[in-house]
Amino acid sequence: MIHNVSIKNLGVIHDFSTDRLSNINLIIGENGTGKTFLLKSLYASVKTMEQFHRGNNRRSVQDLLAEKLRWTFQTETLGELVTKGEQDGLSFSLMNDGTDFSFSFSKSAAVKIANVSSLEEQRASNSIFLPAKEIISLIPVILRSRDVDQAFGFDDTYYDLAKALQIKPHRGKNYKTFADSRLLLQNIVHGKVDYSEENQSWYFVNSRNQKFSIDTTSEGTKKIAILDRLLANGYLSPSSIIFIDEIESALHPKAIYDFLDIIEKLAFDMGIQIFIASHSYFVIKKLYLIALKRKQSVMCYSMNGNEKAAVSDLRDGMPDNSIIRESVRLYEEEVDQTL
Amino acid sequence: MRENVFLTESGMTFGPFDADCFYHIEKAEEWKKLYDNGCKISECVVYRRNKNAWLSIEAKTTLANPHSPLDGGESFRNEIEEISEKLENSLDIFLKARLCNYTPEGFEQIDFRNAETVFVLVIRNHQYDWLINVTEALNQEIQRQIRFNRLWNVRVLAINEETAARYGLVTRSEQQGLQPGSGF
Repeated sequence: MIHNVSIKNLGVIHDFSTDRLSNINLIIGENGTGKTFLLKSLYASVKTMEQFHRGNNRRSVQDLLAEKLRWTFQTETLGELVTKGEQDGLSFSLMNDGTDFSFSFSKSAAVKIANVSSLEEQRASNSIFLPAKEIISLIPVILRSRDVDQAFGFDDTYYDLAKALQIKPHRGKNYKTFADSRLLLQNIVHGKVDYSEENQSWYFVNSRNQKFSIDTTSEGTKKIAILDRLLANGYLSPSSIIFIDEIESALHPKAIYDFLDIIEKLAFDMGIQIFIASHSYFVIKKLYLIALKRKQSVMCYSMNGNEKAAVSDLRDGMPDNSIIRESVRLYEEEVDQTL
Repeated sequence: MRENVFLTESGMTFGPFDADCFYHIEKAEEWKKLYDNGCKISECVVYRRNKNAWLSIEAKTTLANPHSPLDGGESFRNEIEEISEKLENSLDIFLKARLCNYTPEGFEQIDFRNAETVFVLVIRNHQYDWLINVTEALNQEIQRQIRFNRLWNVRVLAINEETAARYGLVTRSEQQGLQPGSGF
């Protein structure tokens, strides 16, 4: 679990730091305030720690990190990640389960990073990033563009997820929370997604065992089915970290509500740390209710562009934020129209 | 000069209202006799000429927490049901009074074909974001009945004293000119 983070001069993020991370961490803010950048920087760092000395891989942490950052953010040079106009360069540090990891580079950095903290050992887990858009229908294209064409287009969040989804569901015992969560996920979409080796294609099978081409399946269904697959194939474990960008995208509010119930289980029953970026009032409200119900902290970071992020604990109440203010504005408009 | 009326309820001073456009249901003797069987009603009905809207107003000092850890929100739901019942009864009583010409003159001007029917719950001390939840909960409860969502197209609002004052439904103590409680 990540316990603290400090970031300076990463894209639009001038200065972000926290030592109050919890099992569920919500990132909110208007478009362009750095929500996805924050998630991706954490993801790239954690994946570097997980890939370091994995199996027979003996690549240096500097090389792994440089490649991960380039392919996650898809910049020609690493220096493009440094906030424009800042002379000091980018610095990043986090502490994960007692292990410190940090790096820094200037705007002149090309494809190498000189200053990276050393790692003693691999972080033994698999973390994953769930992007806003579903990717099941794009898996062949994603893999081709990366494995064959080696071209920018689908960043590493998509590529890593595509690779993870290719792992077959394993037979035998699963964690109870994962098994329960899978049932709930399958209830939301009334079925599940699977891969046919024979046809070399993905398909959706509903609760009546009817099969449908993945292309005729809704985006929301595919998105939910992704998590089901990851819980089935052993990719995730209690020490995984899950990053979810725009969790509400393509999901009906009821599906968001049910999906977050599952997130609650994974986070508080399984101990998986989860970072969620959202624009949705429903998401904030539901996570606030989860914090109250569980009597646990759900930290909320409201990104404010040039200013420091506002930090609050949803256990203490709904945060003041433009998403809330918009719903209040609608209410005020209704009052004004009526009275 | 038109007579102004005020009504004090739940620690709030409602008004000033034009007496011709104010119907204090609780004090209407004709209806007290008929409905003295514990029928719950709202405080009053007010006709807003400028909006061609007639408002059934209920006042409360406070409301239960919908997310109370003590009872899972049961008290809140019970209160919403009760408020809804009051507003529904008041609609019936008011309309009957209007049909029988027992309401003040001002109500004769209501163009019922185009008038808005509004249920307003005024909760004295409530934050905005809580009011949104209350509005939605009350709206859901009211709209369960076809006569509200089809026949009368009722609009539902939950507001606090501050908002009520801003829209002239309530006079706050620093604003008062006339004596409160001078309604009938």
